[in-house]
Amino acid sequence: MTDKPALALGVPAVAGQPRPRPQRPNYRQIHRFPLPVQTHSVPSVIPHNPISLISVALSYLTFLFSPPRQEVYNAYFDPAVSAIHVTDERAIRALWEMGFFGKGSLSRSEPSWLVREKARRGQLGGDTSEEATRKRRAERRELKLERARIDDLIIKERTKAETAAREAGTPLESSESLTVTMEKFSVKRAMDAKYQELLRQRTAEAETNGTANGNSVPLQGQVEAVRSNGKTVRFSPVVRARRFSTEVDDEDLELELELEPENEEHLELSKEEALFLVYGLGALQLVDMNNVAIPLSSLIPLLCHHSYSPPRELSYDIQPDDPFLTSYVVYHHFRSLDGGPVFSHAEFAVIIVPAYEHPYWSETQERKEYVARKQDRSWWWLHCVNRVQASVKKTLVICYVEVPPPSSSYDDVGAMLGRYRIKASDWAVLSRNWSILETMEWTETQDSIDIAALQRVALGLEHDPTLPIVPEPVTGISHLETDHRPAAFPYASPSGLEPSSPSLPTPPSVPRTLHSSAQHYAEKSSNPHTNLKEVNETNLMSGPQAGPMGSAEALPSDTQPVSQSVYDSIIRQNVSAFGGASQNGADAATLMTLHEGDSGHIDLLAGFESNHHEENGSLAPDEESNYDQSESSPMAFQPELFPESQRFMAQTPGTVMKKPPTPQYCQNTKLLTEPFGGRG
Amino acid sequence: MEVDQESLHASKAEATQVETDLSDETQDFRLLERLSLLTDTSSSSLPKRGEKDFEPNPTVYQADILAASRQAMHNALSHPRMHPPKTHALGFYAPDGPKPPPGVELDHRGHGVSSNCCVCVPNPKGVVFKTIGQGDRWNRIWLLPEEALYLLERGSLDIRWPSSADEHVAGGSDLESDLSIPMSLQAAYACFLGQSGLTLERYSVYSSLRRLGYAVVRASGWDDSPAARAPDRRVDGYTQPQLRGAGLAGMFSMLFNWMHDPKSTASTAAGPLVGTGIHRNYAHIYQKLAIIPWYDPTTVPDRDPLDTDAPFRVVFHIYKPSTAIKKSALPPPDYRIAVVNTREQTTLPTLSQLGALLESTPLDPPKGEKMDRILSLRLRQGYRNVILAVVDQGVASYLRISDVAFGKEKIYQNKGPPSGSKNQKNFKSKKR
Repeated sequence: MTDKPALALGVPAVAGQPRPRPQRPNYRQIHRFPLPVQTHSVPSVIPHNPISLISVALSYLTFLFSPPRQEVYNAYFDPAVSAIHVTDERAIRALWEMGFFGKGSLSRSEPSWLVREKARRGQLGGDTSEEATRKRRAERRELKLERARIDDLIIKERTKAETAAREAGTPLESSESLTVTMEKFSVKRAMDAKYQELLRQRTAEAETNGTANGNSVPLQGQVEAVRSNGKTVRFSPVVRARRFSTEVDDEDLELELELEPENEEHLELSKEEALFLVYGLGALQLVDMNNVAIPLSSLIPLLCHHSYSPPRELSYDIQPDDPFLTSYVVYHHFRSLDGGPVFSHAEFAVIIVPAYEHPYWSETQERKEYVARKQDRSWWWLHCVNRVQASVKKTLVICYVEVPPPSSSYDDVGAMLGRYRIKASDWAVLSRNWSILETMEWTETQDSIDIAALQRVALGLEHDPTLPIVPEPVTGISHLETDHRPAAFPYASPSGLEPSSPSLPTPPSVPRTLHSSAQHYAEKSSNPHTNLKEVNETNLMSGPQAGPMGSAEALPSDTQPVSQSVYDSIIRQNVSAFGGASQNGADAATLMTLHEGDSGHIDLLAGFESNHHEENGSLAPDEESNYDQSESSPMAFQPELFPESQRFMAQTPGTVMKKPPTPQYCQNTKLLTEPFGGRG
Repeated sequence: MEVDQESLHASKAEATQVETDLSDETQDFRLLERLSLLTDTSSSSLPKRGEKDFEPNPTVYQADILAASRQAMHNALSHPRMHPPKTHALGFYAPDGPKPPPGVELDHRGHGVSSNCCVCVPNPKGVVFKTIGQGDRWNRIWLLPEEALYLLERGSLDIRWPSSADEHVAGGSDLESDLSIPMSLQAAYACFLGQSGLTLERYSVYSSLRRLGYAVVRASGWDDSPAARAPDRRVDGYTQPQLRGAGLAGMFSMLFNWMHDPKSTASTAAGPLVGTGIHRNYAHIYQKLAIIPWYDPTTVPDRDPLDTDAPFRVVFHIYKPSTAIKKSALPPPDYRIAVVNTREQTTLPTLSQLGALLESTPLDPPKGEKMDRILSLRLRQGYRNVILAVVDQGVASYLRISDVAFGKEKIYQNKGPPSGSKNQKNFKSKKR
């Protein structure tokens, strides 16, 4: 899972010798079955075609005499750790490939420990996702150390200059120039610069490889000074030393290299997955530690009791609101809709809240108190949950599960499950302050552009009829159509039984980075997620906006382009020296918001369209969200993929959904400005 | 906030610093220079934001920046606020509700405004009254408590205490208005909050949305009267996935199912649900798996807005600035908002409370080509939606809640293998 292929690539280039790229497996073929159940298509009956009847009959006969056998895999339940393990290699592959069940015990999602281990010992070519992540993190850390060092240097120099000035008795004039010359170190810019350097190396290598062997290429990877945009980034000796030590610290691995590593990893199924495989699909058989099969009737109580930590005694009665049961109900519901994870970022995070609507629960005072206690979730809790999931750009779905009254027997599992009812609601925090919501322009500009100045333009001066109205009706979303979306249905891993114990059933390998289609690297990495990226690439490239590469000065998160009309009016305002300010002084009593069509409207799209798609490749997506304003950049890239995840800082969904058609904005300019205090 | 906004105009250069973080002054100075120097339109360089200082350091430079920005903020705040003479509007407080002008008897037609109104503006001036207030038969505008308070706070209205009897409501001579006593902001808060169900929470939501340019009007759920329970609702909106079609069609489908899967061992009681026989296709398997009833928002009729539990009922209708509003005939609102005070309602709404709130809003299914195409958008739009303003000690968070019908999106029907069409396309183009 090379979420950030830019850095996965960095390593071979540093070594000066790019490794042969391993062929990417055909993931479509591997994961062609959504469930570990075989299907056998039967020819359809065409009434007016008697031959079709014969073929149908033939196929029935075939099935009658040699019925295909449904594969049943084995797993064992370990009560000591309350976990379900699959150790058979074939079963692991089958369960993972057909429906993404389980998780490798030593891996992030797909059981890839063996591959990783082999790669570590140099027996295999490609990189695993964990490896890539590790390298990326190491690299980022180096850059951050470097940033800290440069910051420190700047402060020291400035203090020195100030002391010198004080001793000389001269006023401090140099501070401004100091700032200009000593620009701060930006991790993002450094990475970008590095990427540029790699590109250059690539082309150089391609040229030289045609004539000479790889050794004739100078070790460009070790060129430590990377020039980009007139700024020099140097790596300190410490960093350099560490970098190469990581590359060559495997001397003591010589012995290991000889041996074929043994697979020490197994697949761990969540309880919900296990029950679904057993009860829903019949594709799994659970055995206990003595290799005795566990029947379904005792499996459910077992799983229920082991969903607590420490596990409850088996003598406890199962309550209908048992967290495992409610969780399973939700899991089953989503799974029955084909909620299998696909090769994209999960978009929804599901929180399960039991609801006690049945009259039984309000019959006695005792039950009422019990229910009140169970339903006591504070707003504070909600905000915490929402904040967590918003930081991973998911939409919060609260799944209310109606809990039935207790039942005497749990023998009929179907009837029992059918008594639960599910109602899902989507909760999205618009913002703490709605002001950020209304126009995306605002959000973007608040970060970077002097709003007050623009406000004065918009408010203080009367509208100049000669001023061109920016007829940009769009809400800041560039309309890149992404038709590959519908096929992906990334239900979140229905995670969390109770909010307090969010156990995660298989968060499968999902890249976080759909926004940033790192196109240039998509081919390089050997993982399924790049498929998406490649599609993105084709979309983006075929779009009309593919322009020249923008400079780092115009990175989306650094600056926002301002439409020309804004500049014009600012200039005009400067000329007129705030002539209008006095007569309109009180008009600012209310916060003004610029709208599309207003003279102060900032046309963010103008800039995004021209250069930002190009930059997708150069800007590696950031897993740890360390970029200073990383939240503003996803909007530029692929806004339609996760509009909801951006609406925290962008817009009410309503404004997205219900945007009136273009002309209204221009016609209603006067009306628009009115509620914002313009009373002139 | 208000103060900041108003004074922004007056203090010219200094005001530019107010909005940004105090530690970001460096860029702002430079930004200004750049903007004013930008006379040639061909210049492509854009103002850009620099890096923040994350921690204090011993340089004088940093200290200077801090001092400068503090001074800028001080200048901005110290700017005097005044009523512009052009739009000076005078209002009169009428604690007993709307009254006809003196000398006019109230006839059967009434005065035509809500009885909750308590401030009369005899000579409304300015565009604010386009969306605020209600006109009575005598061309005066009556304001609800929140409207009056908002306008006063904003500096757009000068409210006078009633002096003797109701004479001032006549809105007559200048002499009278000169003699009457202006109402202070503190007094206005004291008078208007608590009147006719106006709480501080509702007012803070009202004023913040107003300030952003939305038109906000009271909705029918304003009164906290106990829920008007409608007679039993027979449709609860939950599906019955296990039911097979009745009648001839159902029998035929059963027959076909049997034909295709004659040795079906599917059992909902002991599993496995899909049985151990031959499966035709995955859609069939998924159909068998669907045993959990789920809520289908489209099947539920709309609910009376009063058939909800306070505070989970819509109290404000909100119109975007772009929506043309006629006060006499309000269009359907753009948003509906319910206001919750976290100190009184400490817990999340229960299922029934939330369900009632959502059902009291009209069905707003996802529409449009984009919605049809993009599944995640469709899911997020939901079928009914409402905005919950959760006010905790004056801080409002806005939550948009919508019904999601995951169950309506049967992915398996239009999709083969999990990787779907996108990869298909991809693999075609990238054949190796």
